[in-house]
Amino acid sequence: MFTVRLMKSGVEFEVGRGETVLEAAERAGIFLSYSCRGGTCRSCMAKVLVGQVEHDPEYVDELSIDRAELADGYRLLCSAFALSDAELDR
Amino acid sequence: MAKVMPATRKTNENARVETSSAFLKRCYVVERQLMRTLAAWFVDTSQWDVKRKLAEDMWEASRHADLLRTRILELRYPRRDVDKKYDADVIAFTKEMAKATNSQEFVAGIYGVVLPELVQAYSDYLERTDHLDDAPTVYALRHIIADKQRQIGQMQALTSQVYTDTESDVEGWQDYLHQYLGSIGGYLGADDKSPRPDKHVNAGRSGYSVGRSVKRDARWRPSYYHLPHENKYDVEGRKAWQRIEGLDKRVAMQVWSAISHFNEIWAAEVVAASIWDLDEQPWDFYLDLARWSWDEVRHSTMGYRALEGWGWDVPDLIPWGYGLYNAFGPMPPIQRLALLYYYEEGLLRSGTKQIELKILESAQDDGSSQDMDFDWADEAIHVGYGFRWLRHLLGDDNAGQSELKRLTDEAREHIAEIVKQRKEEPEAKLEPYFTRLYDVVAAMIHEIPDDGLDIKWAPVVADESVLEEL
Repeated sequence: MFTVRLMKSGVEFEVGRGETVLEAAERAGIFLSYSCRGGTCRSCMAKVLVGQVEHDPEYVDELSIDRAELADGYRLLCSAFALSDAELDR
Repeated sequence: MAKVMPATRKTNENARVETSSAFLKRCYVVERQLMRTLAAWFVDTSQWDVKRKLAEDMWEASRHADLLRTRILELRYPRRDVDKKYDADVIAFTKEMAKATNSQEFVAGIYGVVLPELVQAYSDYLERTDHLDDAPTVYALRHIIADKQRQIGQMQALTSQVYTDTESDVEGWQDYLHQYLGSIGGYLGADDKSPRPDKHVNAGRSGYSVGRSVKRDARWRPSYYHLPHENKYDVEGRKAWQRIEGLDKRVAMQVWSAISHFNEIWAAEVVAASIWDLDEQPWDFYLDLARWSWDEVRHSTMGYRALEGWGWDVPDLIPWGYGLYNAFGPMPPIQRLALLYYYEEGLLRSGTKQIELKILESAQDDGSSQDMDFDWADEAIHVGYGFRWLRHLLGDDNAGQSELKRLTDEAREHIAEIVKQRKEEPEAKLEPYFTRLYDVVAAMIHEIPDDGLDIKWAPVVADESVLEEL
């Protein structure tokens, strides 16, 4: 389990192994905007300020996020796993 | 002498892979062009029922084209040529079918000549091909024929109600298209071509292009906007709206959702016009945009259904805005798509649809909740389309992204300027609509147990930040 903190709202929640950040937030009853659950719509995109959050390698090439956004630390939370404790710009 | 076993059956000499792929390629081009033409005339048609039907059939044409294109590639047709080397005669015919002088004539040409002849050509193909050897084509054509026959029947029923006058010489237009199709050897491209009907009274019309502005169905009063929040200067309109909000936020959400959905037609028009304007894009571009446009028409129809479901005289009570499409009109097609993408991505990222769905569920409005739920799923797809195709059109690099931002910012400024320019025009003010609507809504509301939902929703428009900056 890793702890993810949303810096704007100050809330935090636990993310289990094999669980996307969005799924963990929903399990914890925390509102995050999303729409597609498939990395298409960009509704759940957030910047990772601290820690390691990475996209699901199974369909990483199909995500609607570009290289510059990835390099800037943005991730699509519906399709990303926490690999450490993390802080998000949300 | 050679020795052989006896042949067990006779076959049609034209039922071979090469002739099949050649025929299907011609039909793919027709369906592709039909989709683009229906998209454009959807924009240029004002009558609500005909308009939405054209959009539906446009989307189905895209599916038909895709079925044929997929099959062509299975029939040893060179991949590099499937979206090139279009038959010049077929292209010429499809350009002619767009040159109607009005929607009534256009519909008469498409549903009275183009589609029935296409059904006949597909049926003839099924007669001559082998249903075992060529089973995948048979499956596709059976479904396409069924769709086209349904389309023809539905449009004929609709037009018999809608077009009651004889303003247009539709028979003359149909005769011209018949003759023109004969002059290219029909869809099959047969050798026995009739002469090109150059002397026909309907020959020689100038080329068609999609309109840069739209008119709404004459049953509606002209209105630039559909909700007062689109025009920050419409103070009285907002006050009238706030009275509805004062009844209950749930009531306001129900009404807002239905009006907003109904008016999503402008987004459908923006996308449809791009289908026409942007020729020579990859096939998937058209497949995606046809779906995008039709989805927005479905959303519009959802709104209309909800409004009608309350027993309202929709044209009398509800504004149907023409302003957004017309404001987008002068922009280049890529810029129009960029701005629409900006709007749609922004709405989803703010969680607006999620919040609105929760409020509709709290209102125990099953129909509106279901509509919003599917609308939300559709919009997620559309953002994916926008992301993909704007990167294709502008480049998936820093320069492309800079251009996307420049186009979007310029378009937002353009829209904001138009809001400012038109602020005093009567058609930009919505107070009369929402004052009338308040009385109607107030007379209909009833009480349900309060589920305690903490409703923070406030009306949002696509680009509030620009309106605030004014």
